[in-house]
Amino acid sequence: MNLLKIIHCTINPQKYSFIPVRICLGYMRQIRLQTTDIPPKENSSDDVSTKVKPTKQSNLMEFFDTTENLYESKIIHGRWWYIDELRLKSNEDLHKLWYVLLKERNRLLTMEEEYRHQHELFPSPERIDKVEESMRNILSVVRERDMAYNLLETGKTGEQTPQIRETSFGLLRYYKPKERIVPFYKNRYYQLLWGKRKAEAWTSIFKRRYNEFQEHQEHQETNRIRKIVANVIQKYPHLRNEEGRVMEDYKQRYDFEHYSIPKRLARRPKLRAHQTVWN
Amino acid sequence: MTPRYPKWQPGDPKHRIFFPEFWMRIMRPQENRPLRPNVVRFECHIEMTKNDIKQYLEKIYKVETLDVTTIIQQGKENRHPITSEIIDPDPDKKFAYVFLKNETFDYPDLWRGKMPSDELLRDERRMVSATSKQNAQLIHRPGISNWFR
Repeated sequence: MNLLKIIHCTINPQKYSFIPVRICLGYMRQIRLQTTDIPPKENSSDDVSTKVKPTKQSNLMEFFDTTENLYESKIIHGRWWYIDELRLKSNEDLHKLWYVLLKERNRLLTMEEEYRHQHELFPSPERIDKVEESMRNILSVVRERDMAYNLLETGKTGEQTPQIRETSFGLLRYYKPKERIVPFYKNRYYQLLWGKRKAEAWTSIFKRRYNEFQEHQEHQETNRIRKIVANVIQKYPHLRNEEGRVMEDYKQRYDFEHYSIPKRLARRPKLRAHQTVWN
Repeated sequence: MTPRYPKWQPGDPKHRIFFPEFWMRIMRPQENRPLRPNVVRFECHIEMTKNDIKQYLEKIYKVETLDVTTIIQQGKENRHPITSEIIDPDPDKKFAYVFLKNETFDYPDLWRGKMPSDELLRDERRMVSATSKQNAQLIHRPGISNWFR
């Protein structure tokens, strides 16, 4: 019978960072990579460390691109990593991929500077954006996993709850608590933003007018959506009893937001750190 | 996560960053400021500290460093010619001079004499020579077309 040899091998660590790749040898079959492995990244074949192996090159040469791609005006490269692809990877793989992308970004940035110095056009500058996009996607996946873990363990996401604070103009604003080095009584910037929080008497008329305006806008939006929903119900009479649900659906579709923070939210007691139910 | 990593205070456990967002790029030494052989000039993310740079290079790139000096260069504030209002200011840059341990670094010559625009120049020259040859034939007999020869 025709046997398939599956070989585990570790590729040169500098290229693939200790990730094992399974190669199926059969009858002229394509090399297939498992889902736990990392598919070829952009410029994987043009990596510095595999092509160039001189005797006494310092590790700083990893900042440069010494392949033939220097002289081309357009470099063929892959796309960025989608979030769905990254969700399949284990945490270790994501961690390793992060550093691969980091080194690649540094390399592209040095080459950009070099081309600029030589008064040449940098070929395919979108590579940097793709790498940055992939890095952002990795962080969002890590954040999702963190939130899921916290929900399972503690019942709350570990995210911060934005506080609602009244500014000196009488407007309500969301405030994200941050860790600052300088305490608030000495922090000039913080005092300018959040120092005076009591709304004085002169702001009441403006608050009133602003609220009127906001409510008017909300009214207009609801009426508009109500007309659409009425048309829909006329078309599909079986939805007559489910008007509320249809309204909610269309509100979501048209990105209907509450323009102001309703009063009942403003007056409720402050949420403390251990009490989180925001979304 | 980075660059706003939490503040460390005495008594805290050692702080570890798993996904550093910092970037660094190697720059040529400035013309008016030649460097020693074991010094490399970097441009880095503006919120990196000297300790950050040292650990970055030692842990990710395995380059041993003696010392790091940093300097922030303010970007040019481009002002409107008439109102002198600041429009589109250039971003501030941070440069780091890294002193290597037991290593010398010379900014490499990646181009090896060739430039990517050389091919375009060669094409241009070819075009110019071809047209000049054509013109040389025509100039002596103005008024006669090409096919009459």
